[in-house]
Amino acid sequence: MKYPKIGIYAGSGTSHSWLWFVDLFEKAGFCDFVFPNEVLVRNNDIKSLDVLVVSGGDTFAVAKSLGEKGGRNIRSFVEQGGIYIGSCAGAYLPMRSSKPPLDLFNFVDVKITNLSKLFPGAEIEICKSCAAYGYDFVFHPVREAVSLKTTCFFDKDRKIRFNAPLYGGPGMKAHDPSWVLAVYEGFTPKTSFFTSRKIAEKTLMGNGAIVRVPFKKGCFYLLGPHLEHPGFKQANRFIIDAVIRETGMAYDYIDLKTDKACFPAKEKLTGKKAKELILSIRRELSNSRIVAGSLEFLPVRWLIGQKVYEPQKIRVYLEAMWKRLKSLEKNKVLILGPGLYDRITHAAGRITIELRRIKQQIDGNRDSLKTAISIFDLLHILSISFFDLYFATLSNGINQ
Amino acid sequence: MEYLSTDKILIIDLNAAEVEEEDLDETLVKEKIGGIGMTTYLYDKYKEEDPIVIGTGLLTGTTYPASASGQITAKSPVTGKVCHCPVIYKLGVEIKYAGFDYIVVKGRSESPVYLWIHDGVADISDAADLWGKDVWEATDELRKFVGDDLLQTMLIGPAGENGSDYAQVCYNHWNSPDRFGFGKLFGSRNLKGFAFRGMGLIEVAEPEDYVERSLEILKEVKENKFLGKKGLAPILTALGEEGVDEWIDPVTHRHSADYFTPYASNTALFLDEDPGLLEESKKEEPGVLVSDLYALLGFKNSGFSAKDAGSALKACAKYGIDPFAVAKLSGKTTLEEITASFDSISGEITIPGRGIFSPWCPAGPVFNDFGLAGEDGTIAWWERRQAVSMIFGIQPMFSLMCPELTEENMLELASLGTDIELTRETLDAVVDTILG
Amino acid sequence: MGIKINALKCTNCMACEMVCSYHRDDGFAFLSACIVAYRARERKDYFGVLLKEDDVLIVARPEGLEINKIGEEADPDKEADASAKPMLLREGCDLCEDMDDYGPMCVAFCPADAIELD
Ligand code: SF4
Ligand code: SF4
Repeated sequence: MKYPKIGIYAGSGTSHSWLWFVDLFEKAGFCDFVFPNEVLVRNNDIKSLDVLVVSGGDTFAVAKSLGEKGGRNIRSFVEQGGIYIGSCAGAYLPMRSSKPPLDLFNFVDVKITNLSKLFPGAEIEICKSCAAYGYDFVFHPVREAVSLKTTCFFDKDRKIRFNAPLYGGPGMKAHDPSWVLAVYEGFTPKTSFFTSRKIAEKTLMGNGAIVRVPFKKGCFYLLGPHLEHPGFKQANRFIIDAVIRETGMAYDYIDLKTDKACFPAKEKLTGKKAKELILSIRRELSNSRIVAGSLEFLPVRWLIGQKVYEPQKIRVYLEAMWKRLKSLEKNKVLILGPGLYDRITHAAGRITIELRRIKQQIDGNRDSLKTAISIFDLLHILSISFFDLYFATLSNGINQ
Repeated sequence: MEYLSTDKILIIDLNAAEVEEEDLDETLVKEKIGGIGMTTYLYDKYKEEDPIVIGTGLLTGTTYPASASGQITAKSPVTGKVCHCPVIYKLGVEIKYAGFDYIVVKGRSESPVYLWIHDGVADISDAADLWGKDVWEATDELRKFVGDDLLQTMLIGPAGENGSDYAQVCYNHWNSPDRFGFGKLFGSRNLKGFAFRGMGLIEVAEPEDYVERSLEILKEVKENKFLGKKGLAPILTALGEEGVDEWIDPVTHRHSADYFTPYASNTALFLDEDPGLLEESKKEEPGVLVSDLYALLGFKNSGFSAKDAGSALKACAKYGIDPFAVAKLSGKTTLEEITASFDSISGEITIPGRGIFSPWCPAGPVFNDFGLAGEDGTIAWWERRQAVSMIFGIQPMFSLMCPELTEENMLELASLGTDIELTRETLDAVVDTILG
Repeated sequence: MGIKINALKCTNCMACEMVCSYHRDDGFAFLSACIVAYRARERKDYFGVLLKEDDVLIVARPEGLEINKIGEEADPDKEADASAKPMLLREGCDLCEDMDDYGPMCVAFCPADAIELD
């Protein structure tokens, strides 16, 4: 059986939710992953992928870092048969907007329903981190779990209902109503309201929550809520089914794509050197998660770009690597791309230093924003490198 | 060893500055159970190198009531005997969750070091900046450096660095049950001590049964009336001391318990702050946490006010010296004299029975009589009870209070937790080896 | 229905934290607990209990209860914002709904009877 090659975008502007996609796909048994950042997308290293996932985060920051070239490459990726899955910020990205740099990504004819102009005169609280979209503001009517109902998809006669959490993702109106795979159907006891219930209902109910837009040979999947959130099994299943169906995993679909040259050859690391690498990862991840654990109890958060970051998010990155360390340790042979050894050890060591620095800054009531920015950058670099090592090593183990 | 264990023994060679790991073999657990059963075995195994062995009990850090304790097993530089010092507060638990069941430290370091044990990693770290600092300064500095206030430390102060016979290994900022001069031993190895932090997961063979039985036992334990009390004063009163409450109440702040321990046997005294204060004190050092009954009593009997006794205990904790030895041997009656006398104390403190367990806790039952008769029998009972507590990792003072924590249910839970059949015969054999 | 903590009865023994984590992890650990014995001010002998529910964080301090709402928007003008809520990403208290034989584990195991079902 062949597995689809999945690229999970982990470049600038993404939040930790891309880690949820890693968990989700790994649990489903997929093992062929890459974690492109903006440079790789701009270099069109995504063309050999079957699926490109752009998760939550800051749409503006993602758009800005991908730039015109990145936009062009994503468009041609989908045109040639690729599957784009965008959740939350990743869903907003390909929708129409007049505002630069979002206008570089005007790919699909889907409209946002949570725009303030649609509710003239209503009391809508526009928070400062809500984004200006073109001439208008996106607002967040509710947060947390909402309930969805499928319209059609695998089984036209049977409609499924499930919950998924909404953290600022869109309600959607598609140019062609058949593109809508699921609509917002209701709220749950866990939903918190940020507008009146009436406006929240008007904004979301009956509007698209999951939209699939066919685009030449490929398609865009736009997910308003975070279907990939680990607490929502049925929502997770929806994504997996979609990927299996779209990529025809059981067929030799993947063989049609032979261009795998873009990702460089890897080398093997064994014996003492392999042990040393694992130990140094373990050491620094441990040092880092110890500080991150204590930051969890401090009253601080940072505004980076358009997004608010809490210290707890640091732990999400660290735990995503930590929980995989044991299976990595069991492998006698580690598979690494060129330069990865140094990248991992350097980033891991730096994260410990920066985390210890930020703890002292917060304790001393000093400015910590700059350190926070560098910590999240380093966490990105480390986790991308770590997952490269992890999946290459594990799939090597499976192949042997 | 898959269950109730991190499966790892750490061997640290200070001479070579090298760290090695061994798997904890299940057959060894079948034979030695754990805690001081195992640390005694490891001490003997590396006897030539006169090691310091740190460990935790088989049940440490679980839902078994009072499963708080760890232990240090080493040869006392004062008495020459291999002794076992309980590790209390929340430190015993942290050792296990930091990723090692046992740690053997061999040799002597060229220059001062401390051992940073975290999540299954052991780092021999330079202690040049810590050497010369007192226990409080060193603990604070390590917590600041590592970036976590929950870091648990096992450190020596100036007393240990200077080779005092009464030097203690202290736990976090506080005095410990060390009456064996282990502080001197650490100092002689150029070892400032340990810092522990761990966020591991301990697996259990039969989790549901284990937890269910733990709760049943806890419910029986809670039937005890003494659990309505808190702190050191009621223990001293129960042991026949008079006037303790009146003496200590004016400076008593709150009482806290060791991990999962139903009796709060640590009493915080506020010295530089209103003891009735509920919110967080703005003072940097409002007081001291006391776990040492007899040190407290010693200062009381020397005519100290409770406040001065607290100040003396705090000074002892900072200096890393056994406060009981100071109270008993210094012959001083004022605070100033006491602090000036740390380096010139001399004399012996008696350790009951075979001299291998710390008389930090009473050498007999507390609150309950356990059906004991004559004194000879009491010491034998006490030694067995201490040995058993420190094999399984039970807080050794609480085990003297609570008959519901029986050898049978400790064995039962150890078997449920590990899936290894552990019998009374095995336990007897382990205790015999420990008692020699 | 929820749980009520009496911080003055609490002895900071961490039993609640351990059993809460156990009910999520099926092993012994502390990391996934939504109830935490606060002990970071050890030198000042200041301790209490933190409880994360779905949308509030309850801080049971000796001087009284404090209830903070979780999920409110931060004021991005403030770089370090004191209204930010700790333990945000831990799962909220579910009253141990899956532990049929016990009910709330922390209530059952607190040796000091400092926690009650309200
Ligand atoms: S009721 Fe259960 S989930 Fe809630 S705090 Fe207590 S142990 Fe944790
Ligand atoms: S179990 Fe009870 S006494 Fe122990 S920390 Fe929790 S609330 Fe406090």
